[in-house]
Amino acid sequence: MSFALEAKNLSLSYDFSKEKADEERHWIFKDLSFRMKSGELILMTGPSGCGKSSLMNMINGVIPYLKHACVRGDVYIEGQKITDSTVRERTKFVGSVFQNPREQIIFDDVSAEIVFPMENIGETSQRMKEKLITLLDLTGLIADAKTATLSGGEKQKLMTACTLAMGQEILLLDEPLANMDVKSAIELLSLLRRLAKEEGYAILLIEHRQEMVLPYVDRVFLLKPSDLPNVEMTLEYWEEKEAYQKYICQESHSVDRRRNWKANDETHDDGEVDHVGDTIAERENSREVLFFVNNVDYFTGKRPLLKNFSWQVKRGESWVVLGENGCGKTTLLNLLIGFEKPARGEITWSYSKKDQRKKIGYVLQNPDYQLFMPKVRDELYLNAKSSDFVEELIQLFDLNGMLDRHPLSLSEGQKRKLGFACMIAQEPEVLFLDEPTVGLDTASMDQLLYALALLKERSGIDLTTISVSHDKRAIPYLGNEFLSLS
Amino acid sequence: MYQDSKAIHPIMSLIFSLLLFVTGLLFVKEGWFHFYVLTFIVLLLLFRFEKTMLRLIPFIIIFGSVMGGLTMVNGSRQDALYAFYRVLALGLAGTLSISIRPIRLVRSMNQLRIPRWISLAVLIVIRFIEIFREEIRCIRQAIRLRNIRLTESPVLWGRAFFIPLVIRVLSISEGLAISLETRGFSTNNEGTSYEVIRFRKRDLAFSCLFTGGLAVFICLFFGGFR
Repeated sequence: MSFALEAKNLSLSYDFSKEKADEERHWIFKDLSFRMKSGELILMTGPSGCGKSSLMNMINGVIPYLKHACVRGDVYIEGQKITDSTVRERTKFVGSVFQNPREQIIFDDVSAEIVFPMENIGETSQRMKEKLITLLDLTGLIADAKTATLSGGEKQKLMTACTLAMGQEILLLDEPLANMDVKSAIELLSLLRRLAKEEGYAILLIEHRQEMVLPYVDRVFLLKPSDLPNVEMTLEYWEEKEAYQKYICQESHSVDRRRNWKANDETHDDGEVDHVGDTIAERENSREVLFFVNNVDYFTGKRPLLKNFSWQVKRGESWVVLGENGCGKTTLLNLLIGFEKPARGEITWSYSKKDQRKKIGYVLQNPDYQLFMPKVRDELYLNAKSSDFVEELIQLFDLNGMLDRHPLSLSEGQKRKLGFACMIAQEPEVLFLDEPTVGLDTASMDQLLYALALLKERSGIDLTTISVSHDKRAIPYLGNEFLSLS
Repeated sequence: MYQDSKAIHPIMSLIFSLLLFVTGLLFVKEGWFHFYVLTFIVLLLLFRFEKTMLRLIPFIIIFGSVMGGLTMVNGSRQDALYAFYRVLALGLAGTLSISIRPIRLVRSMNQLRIPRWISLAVLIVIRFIEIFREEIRCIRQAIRLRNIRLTESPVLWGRAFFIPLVIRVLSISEGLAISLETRGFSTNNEGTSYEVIRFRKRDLAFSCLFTGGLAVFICLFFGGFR
């Protein structure tokens, strides 16, 4: 029997040295084998930076054809060996949705982007029209919307639509839900399930948001630390997803115990006495208003994002901004910090402009913009208020072994944690967090939330946080007040 | 699919834009340069390019003033004026080129059987300018967030600006290359086209008026009406 996709003894190392024998190399993973049948939807998960994306790139040929690495093993599609096929040849069979959709967009409008792969494979104009309408309907994107004005989640939907447009029956998706709102994520998962069950697609889905994905998948591949010398990761197969569900429930219980989120204790019943000695209600009333947003309008092109929007936040509050993709959550943060200007209305801060710069921290979605020092250590200490706190953060984020490395040599997850640590080491009074847990496994997310609690503890009750997140795992811990944009 | 009824045929736009730029630079010192500029402004306005022209006015004023100012340091007032005119010619040519929708340009190049690697290279160059501008904006915001000021620590500011810029450019180049490969782009096959870019009456009218107008000024330049 031939399988839709079969990987035999896949090994990956970034240790290029030609003189070294394979036994001496340091392997990310070694001799991994797995099979996928048509009609299967499989979840691949594992800690951040464990090599999930690299494994996907070995299947679609990006490694070693476009990204250099030392690889071993073979990939088969429908029994045909494709190990020596280039990326373009493999594209006939395998469709890939990558992380960082922003870096893959070629055209300036949505319809051109979706139609482009269909033009490349020689679809007829009529067929392209039909597929385009279906995909726009599925993703809720607007045909002539400018790609530059799309939100992170909308860009992710766009790239998924581009891959679905090509119609390959083996799909590899690398964190397609990362920036998606719950409704869109459920719609995409339902579609993937339908494609697998009704049309026989074989789909490998890499995701950290397991609680959302598990009901839709058939099996789970878990990349976990290996016991072998010189090998970082090994693959564990969970044929029964119910058994895997039990396993992660046990894991998350232990995480919850560690997540002693003291900062949110103030949400307890009114009248409870907190450590300062006032009642919660008294303290709520006496808090100073940090900023007012008064009847603000904001437009992206001609599309109104915010209309007559008013809001106020008091010092010490923790807000989570929720809403569907493209509803203006990141734009709201950018308006608050002054990166964008409202078309009408005003935003008034209790800080002067000069103070705003010193007192507000902002953890961006993409850490690459914030990292530039020669070593991780320099990055952490730049503008840090206290070296004790930096030491504490180093321990918490397990950065000890990489203090002398260049920050940009770290994995995406590690860079995200470092970017976060650098920002909170500045000990801001107000912290904006834009999708801080995207691409992070549960353990890393836990570290991040714990660091936030530490910062809150250091600043007493004064730290104000405003977070944007779609991550159901993190939302309850990121704030106790919610703003829903629609 | 979105049809841009105001747009001029992309290949025509590209050629006319180049012609405007080259002739603009050549005619800058002629006494009738103002009429040359005025003629093409009227032509562009007739064909509804007013919004694009408005977008370019700040660029022309700022860049033109800087160029004029720098020229005046070592030259005369007349030289400074010529420098400003050169920027004006660039702005005039830019009105046509920036109104080209990249996808329409690629499709019309494909229709003309221009090799796909050329059309895609043109497309990526056009897109990269936009991407570059967006990346610079994001990096400057990130620098502000890390409390780094150019006036206080210029070396650190330089690091914070150029290192992320280089990394982002490399990362985007790699992302675009992967994106092209995995979406079936090939220089060997011709592919199909979703939309046929036709040469319309509007394009013909624009081409006739443009060529006629330009011919008059070329004649003037070579002393044809004496």
